[in-house]
Amino acid sequence: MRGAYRIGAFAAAGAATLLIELAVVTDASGQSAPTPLLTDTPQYCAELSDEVEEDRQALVSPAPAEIEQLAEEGRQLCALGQVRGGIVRLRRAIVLLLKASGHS
Amino acid sequence: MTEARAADLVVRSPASPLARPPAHPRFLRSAALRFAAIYALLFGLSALALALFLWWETAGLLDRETDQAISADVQSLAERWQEGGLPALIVTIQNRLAENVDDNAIYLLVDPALERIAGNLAFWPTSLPLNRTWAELPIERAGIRSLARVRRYNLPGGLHLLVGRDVQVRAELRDLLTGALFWALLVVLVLGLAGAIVIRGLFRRALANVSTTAAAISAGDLSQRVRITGRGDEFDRLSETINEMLERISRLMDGVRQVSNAIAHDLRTPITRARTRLEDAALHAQSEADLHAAIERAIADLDGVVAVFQALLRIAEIEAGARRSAFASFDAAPLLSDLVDLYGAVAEEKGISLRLQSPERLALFGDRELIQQAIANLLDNALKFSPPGGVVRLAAESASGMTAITVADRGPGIPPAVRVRATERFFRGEAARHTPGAGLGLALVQAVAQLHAGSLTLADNAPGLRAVLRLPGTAELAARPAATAMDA
Repeated sequence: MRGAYRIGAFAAAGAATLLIELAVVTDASGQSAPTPLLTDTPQYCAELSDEVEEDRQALVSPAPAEIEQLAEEGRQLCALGQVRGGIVRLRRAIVLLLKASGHS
Repeated sequence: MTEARAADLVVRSPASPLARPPAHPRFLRSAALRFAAIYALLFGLSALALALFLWWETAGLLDRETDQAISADVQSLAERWQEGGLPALIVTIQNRLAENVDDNAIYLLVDPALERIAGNLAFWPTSLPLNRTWAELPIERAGIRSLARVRRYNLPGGLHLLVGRDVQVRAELRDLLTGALFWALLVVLVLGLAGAIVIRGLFRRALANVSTTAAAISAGDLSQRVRITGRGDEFDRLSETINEMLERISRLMDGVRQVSNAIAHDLRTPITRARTRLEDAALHAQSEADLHAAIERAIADLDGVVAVFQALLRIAEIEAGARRSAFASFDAAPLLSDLVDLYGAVAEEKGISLRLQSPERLALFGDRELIQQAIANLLDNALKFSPPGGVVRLAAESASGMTAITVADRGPGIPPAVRVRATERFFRGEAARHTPGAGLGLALVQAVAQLHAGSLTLADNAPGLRAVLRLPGTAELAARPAATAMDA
């Protein structure tokens, strides 16, 4: 029976590990005041829009239509209040502009 | 104290070796419950191991990947700081935020007063202790509460850098997985308990067969045997072993009963005869000489009874192994010569030729007196049953450390059908019905053979009987388990 007790101890240790993990999950969503993120605001949307424009003008050749479309969609979404969606499109436009200008 | 009270105390005496100490509660003494508990434990343990593995390979993997990405980001920013100082670091943070298509990056660079220099967190989180490197923080994104995993990094000059990722989606996935694993473990627990109950039932059913038989035998019904299912499993093998044990016990008890009956039967005649003679003498003796003669005849009858009891006691003593301390190496050749000399006169009187064939030296290891008695019994039987003019041969030879002593006669022999019983106590064959003796001679020889780890073989001498007593020549061979053999 000593072996069975040992196995039981291992089982208890495993269960404790799982419960600790569960406790961590619960604790992680704690009740303290959240810190606001500044990149989900219309102001940041405007900053990105300006950066897209600067990068586009810096190109030697005209920007591809895909970039123009993404930038336009981003601006429109931000104007409609869908800030996160607009910001994601503007970021994609910036990444594509960087590629078009030869930056990695 | 009354007698009844005293008897009650005797029955309940704790000194009985069969009394069980009440060490544990009754349910814990159940082997079936223990097996069921072990099954449930192993089942649960397996399920738990599987759950932990799934957790490690899913939620754990996502956690590890996030932490690796954050650590790589911190390392890269630290290098930028070393290369270009604070301005380069600020530009890099701004660029990474601008190129963060996944929309999950979190950066914050603060001065020693925890005032923001760059990054997308509004201020240094109040809930983040300065002594912790890793933390999970609540953040707010466009008015929606979310969760971030961050790592703090201290830069020279008292600057603090916070790099992290929004892990809200990952946390929701982890919650989902946790819930699923919790319910799965609950189901496994229920299944484990159900399985344990089934195992307990199977175990109890398998043991009930043995238990019922044991109870019936304990109640006196020795004919009961454990039922064999025919599956050939461990329980069947246990049942077979128990049945073999019961057969042996039954045979031994039959033997005891037979010996008891034989004692009662064989001793009744000489005791009755002695009583009748004494009674007859008391009633009809004409003189003192008649009385003396009757008493002497009665004494002779009772001496025969005493001799039977002595022989029985001797066999019992030999079978108990009490004589083993007298074992020693000796040369049996002179012993055989002495026996031939002793029985030569009897043989000559009956017109029987007694011949000895033995090597000059015959090594034996054992009790000399018992071996002499055993060979004498064989010679006595051979001479008793040999017809006048017959030949009795006593031969001895050694091979592989064992010595075989053969006594062969030309008498009626023992039919093969009853030869196996010839060494039982009080067994008397048809040919021995009208000869003196108690049927204990071969039983004693058999006991001597077993005591010496040897064997007694009775075979047909065509005609007659050939008895072969095999005994060890060395101490090593005498330590082997005893064996018996009966040739057909």
